[in-house]
Amino acid sequence: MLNSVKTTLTALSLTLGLGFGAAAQAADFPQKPVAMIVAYSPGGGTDTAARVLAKYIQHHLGQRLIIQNKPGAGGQIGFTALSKSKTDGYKIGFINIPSIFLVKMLRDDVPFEMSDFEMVGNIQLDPVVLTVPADSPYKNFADFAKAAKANPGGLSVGGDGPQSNNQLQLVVAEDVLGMDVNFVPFNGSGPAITATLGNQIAASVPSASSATNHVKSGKLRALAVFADKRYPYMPDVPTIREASGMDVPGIGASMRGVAVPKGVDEEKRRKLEAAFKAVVEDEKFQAHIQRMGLPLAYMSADDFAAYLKEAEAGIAKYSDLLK
Amino acid sequence: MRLDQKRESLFCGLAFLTAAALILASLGYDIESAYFPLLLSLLMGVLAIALFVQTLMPHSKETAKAQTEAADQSDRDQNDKDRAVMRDQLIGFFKIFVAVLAYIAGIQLTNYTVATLAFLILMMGMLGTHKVLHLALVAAGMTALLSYLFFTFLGVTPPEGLMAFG
Amino acid sequence: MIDNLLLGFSALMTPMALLAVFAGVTGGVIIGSLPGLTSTMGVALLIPLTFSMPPEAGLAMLGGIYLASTYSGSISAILLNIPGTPAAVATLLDGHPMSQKGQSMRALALATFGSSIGGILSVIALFLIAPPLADFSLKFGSPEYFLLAIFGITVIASLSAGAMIKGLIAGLFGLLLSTIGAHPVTGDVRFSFGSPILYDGIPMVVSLIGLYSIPEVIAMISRKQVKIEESSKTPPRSALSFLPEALAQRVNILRSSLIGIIVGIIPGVGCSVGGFLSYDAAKRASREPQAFGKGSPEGIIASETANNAVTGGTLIPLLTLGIPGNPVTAVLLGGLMIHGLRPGADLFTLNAEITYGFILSLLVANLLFVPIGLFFARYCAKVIQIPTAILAPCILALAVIGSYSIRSSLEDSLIMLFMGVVGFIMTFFAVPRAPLVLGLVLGTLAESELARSLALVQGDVLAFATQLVTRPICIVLLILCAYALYQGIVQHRRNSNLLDT
Repeated sequence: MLNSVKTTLTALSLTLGLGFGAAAQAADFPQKPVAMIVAYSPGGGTDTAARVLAKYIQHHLGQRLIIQNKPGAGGQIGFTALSKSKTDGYKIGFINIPSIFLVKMLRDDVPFEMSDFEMVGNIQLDPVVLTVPADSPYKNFADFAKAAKANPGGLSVGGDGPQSNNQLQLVVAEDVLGMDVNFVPFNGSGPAITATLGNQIAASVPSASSATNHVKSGKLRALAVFADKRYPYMPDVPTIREASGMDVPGIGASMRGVAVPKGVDEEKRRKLEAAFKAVVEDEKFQAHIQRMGLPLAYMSADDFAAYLKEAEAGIAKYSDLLK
Repeated sequence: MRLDQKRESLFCGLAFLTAAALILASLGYDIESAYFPLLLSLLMGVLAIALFVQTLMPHSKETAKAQTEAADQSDRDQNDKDRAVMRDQLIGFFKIFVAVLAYIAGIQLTNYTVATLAFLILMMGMLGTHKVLHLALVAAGMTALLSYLFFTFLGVTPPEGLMAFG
Repeated sequence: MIDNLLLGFSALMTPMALLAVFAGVTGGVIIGSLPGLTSTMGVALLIPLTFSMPPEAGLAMLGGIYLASTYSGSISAILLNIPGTPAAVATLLDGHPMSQKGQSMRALALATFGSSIGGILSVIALFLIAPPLADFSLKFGSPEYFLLAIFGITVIASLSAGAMIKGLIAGLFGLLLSTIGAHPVTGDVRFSFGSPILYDGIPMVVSLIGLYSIPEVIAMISRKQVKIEESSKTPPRSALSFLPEALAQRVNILRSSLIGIIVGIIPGVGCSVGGFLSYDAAKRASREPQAFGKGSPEGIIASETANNAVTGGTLIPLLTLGIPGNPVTAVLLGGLMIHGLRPGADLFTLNAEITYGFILSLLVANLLFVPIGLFFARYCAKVIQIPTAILAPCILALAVIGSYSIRSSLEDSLIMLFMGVVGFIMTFFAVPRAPLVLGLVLGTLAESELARSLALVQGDVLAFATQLVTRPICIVLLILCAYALYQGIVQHRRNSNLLDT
């Protein structure tokens, strides 16, 4: 009987010790630099945003945030790498919505599932805008819609693509508003804007962040932004609801958030969440972001996860149109 | 056929086979996505045949004379020399190919530092460096230099192998 | 205009900014000369370094890296027959043969001076006539890009002189390789063997590294005779002594710079195309076209002057319109934005001091890489005297890590090896590689712009054809293509009458 008491005590103390050990580990987390996988090339929009985050988060996280670029296949390579990473909390990733959904839904044999990730928080929201050249005959959205309806499939609208979030937004808009335009894919929002400026196409659907400079300098006219709220850096541009009277879901808006592979310790994930929340509220970070013209739209881990569940259904419905 | 004719014909064959393979592969895709490669591979196949024809035909008095003098001893010596050069090149190719493949596999099995050190030492040794001091210095120095340049200075993430350190 | 100059001057003449230019140029020279490291990577990965610097200094450093690395690719191209950056491919056609004749210093000097002058001329263009040139660049639509790509492809013919059919086959294969990956308009992925790493196609830099490094190393280890290094017997002439020779080629320099600037302002074309087009033009205009490919000084100057003139050209649409023309300027755009600068009219008015400081720093960088580059090159020239047994493995190690670092992917190193096999096969059968490179570079442009032009007219082929013959720039390009083809045929006839190929 004494033996079994001893055994029980030993087992108990071992378990408590391990528990405390793990808690102690989590309490000291992070103890070394954290690596964030960015699924796009260095120097691009996503990478730039990530590097600015990395610059200001050290103070809040207690350790450096190192950016690891794993570009290719429209983000698939990076997302896959994140899903297969170690779950010790030191490997996190910067993910793009709806790109991560589109990659999964539009291709076969994609080696990750949405359930392979857990959210930490959303940082940015970059909606799609409808733009025309400054000398275009379409002075507002109503003009454009009228012309599009009068000429089904005839009006050329350019945008990043094919199978991009911009095209997704356009397809949703066409469906809700009853229009049919001719989508012409370009190698990014930038070239689409260039083509618009040069009057090669009637209109384009770039990301708001890439259009801002040109709208501000007067060369491009933005007719509407596909979001619930007006875009902070272009406050004169009406939302699609204001411009057309109809509700077009903004599921094509590009969101950038932080995620970890599933299985990371809950405490560690919450610590990461707190650090990112703190950096988003950091004055210096906000000032820098303002100077760059990047739009912030923070969402906590739970809110972000909930939003994703909702969005998934909407995106699935429209993704068929992109195939 | 002369040696150089044989060589040219071999190339024509390779080019033609590649073109044929690409034509077959292109046909497996939607015509809208594949008309460009299809047309290009067709053109390549045609050119391969054209080159083959050009190789076999004599073009001038000079080459016609060369063909009738093919039995000449000096030509046979030249053929032997050419053959030796080609053999050296092929052996060299084989060595390099296997070495680089092994190196890349090594990086995945161990880690960058170990694989690079091993690769450099083994290759230098195979190519004729015998002084251990040279081997050690260059291997260590080069590995350190490359690691610093790419991983520290440029901030590229080192390839992840199975061994943790490095 | 003078006030702008003075404004820029005052912004530049701070110790921080000058140090930044110096650091940028030095870093750029080293980065560009190593096969495996490119300007894009250098600029992109060093942007975080500039975060804490004031804008003028940060931009000056990035500009220095851009310019210097575009130039220094010629160093390894000349000495090792391996291009350090894509821009230098046309340089190795004559640079390496000249080096093999024992005139390495001459080749390096000509390349350096040509690059510098081309760069300076393009910065002057940026300074004086940026806005109208930028507006011109906007007139390029998909049909124009398509014809430009076709014109570039006709250059393949001139790169294959003496082995016309083989060169054409190489060019076609390059074009075919460029179709690997997702179709730019339909999104269909072709020839990828199910591997996601090939969805975006074969990366250009990785191909270059494999295509040139591997065969060169194979040649090194299978060469039995002692390397001829005449320059070690005769005292090396100082680089400056070649300056008069460089300056004597006034027409070549001016024409190459012009071609470079124009190629630069057209977004999406790139430095290597500028080098090829200029090389081709120089060959056509030359009194000794048959010397091209065997060590012609005109060829080296044409290629290097043009590829550096492209850099200034690319900055024109970037600064005036905010349109980046190549990956490096896209990164620079990010850099500008990080420092809070917005391209457009604002840049030249509100932020005039920073902008003109930046432009002047480019001028300084173009001058600075001459001494730094030549100093560095002299040591590089010694590198090729290292015994093969040591040099060859080092080049291979560099090739593997270099191709890995572009996308942090070991599969890219495998792709590099594959392209190395292709390169070896080509050298074994005496097939020129430059046409393949050109095909690889231009293939994507040609295919995507053709597909896009058709998409813009809803697939109406007749409408597209009409566009090709009615749009003004298209007409000019069609005439250029026709002229190039005609000249190619004439030259080929002439050659086949002289030799018996």
